Amino acid sequence: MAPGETAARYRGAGRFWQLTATALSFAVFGLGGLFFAACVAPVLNLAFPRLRRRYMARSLIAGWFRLFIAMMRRFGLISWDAHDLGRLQAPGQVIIANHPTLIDVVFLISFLPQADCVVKGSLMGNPFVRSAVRAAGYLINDDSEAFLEAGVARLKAGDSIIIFPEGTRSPPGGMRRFYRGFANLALFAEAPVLPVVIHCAPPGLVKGQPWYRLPPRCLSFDFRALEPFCAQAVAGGIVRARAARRLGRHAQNLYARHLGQGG
Amino acid sequence: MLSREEVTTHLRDTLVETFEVDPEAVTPEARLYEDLDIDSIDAADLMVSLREYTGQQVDPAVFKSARTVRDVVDAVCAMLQAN
Repeated sequence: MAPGETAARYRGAGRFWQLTATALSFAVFGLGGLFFAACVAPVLNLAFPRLRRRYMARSLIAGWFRLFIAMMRRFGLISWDAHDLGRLQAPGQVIIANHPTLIDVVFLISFLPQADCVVKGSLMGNPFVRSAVRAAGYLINDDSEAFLEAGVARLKAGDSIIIFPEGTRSPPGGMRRFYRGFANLALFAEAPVLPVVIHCAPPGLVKGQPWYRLPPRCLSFDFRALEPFCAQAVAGGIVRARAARRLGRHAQNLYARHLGQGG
Repeated sequence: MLSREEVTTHLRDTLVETFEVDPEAVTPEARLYEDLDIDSIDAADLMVSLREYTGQQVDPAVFKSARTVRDVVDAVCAMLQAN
């Protein structure tokens, strides 16, 4: 199926192709993770010092993710549009995003290979990605002061950090209440917050849905980087706890507006 | 020495003023994390505020095991009595 036909609905043979192509894409993704664990990580560990290793691992992961995305696009499973993603390139930003699908972070890392990323602790139990997460030095969010300190140090060193304030995937067509981890990072590091708004239509790869429960047609993604905002400008001069809450509400309202939701 | 009532009042005022908790929600049984939207960074700030109020070092381990408003008051009062 050519990329031009991507808006077409899947029927009959198309449905079978969609299932096969989806299975193949995820198989390549999983094999990439296992290959990383078995072959790439040991070489990196032996041959390079820690920081160097971390950035090499991130480049390799971004390459693997780009391959996965290119494959899904080639198969006509997904398409995407991007707006103002040049804004991602500025150093030391807290990059936040809503989280409609399983593969949002795959896109974001492919857009910004050197980014740091906040991941759920449960990913360390996933054999397909565990090794890559560790090698890339992604931050495990355990809601602790140690996490905050590590994140602030990374931001101050110029890394940008991708974080999903909802903590997990958004409910279909909606948004969870934002955790304030991103706000605390931005406040303590005095880092700008860059919101990325992600649309995916029709809803697909949503939480609680197995990969083989396929959407009715090609998933069209839309990524838009908004104007970054400064934490101090939104919530400067007030006590940290209140500032974090104000930032949380500010960001949540911003997303509600851009996603066309009431709240 | 501070009374239990004073500690409770201070805790309630701090939760309401600094952490934007609804005053109605501050009951002895209210759980800090689940019911009052306090996260771990908030808890650390709360501990600092209690230390400034009582003038005594709060044992972080005891404080971390506190789940509810009553647990926090108990921990602070036990500490005040011990010293």
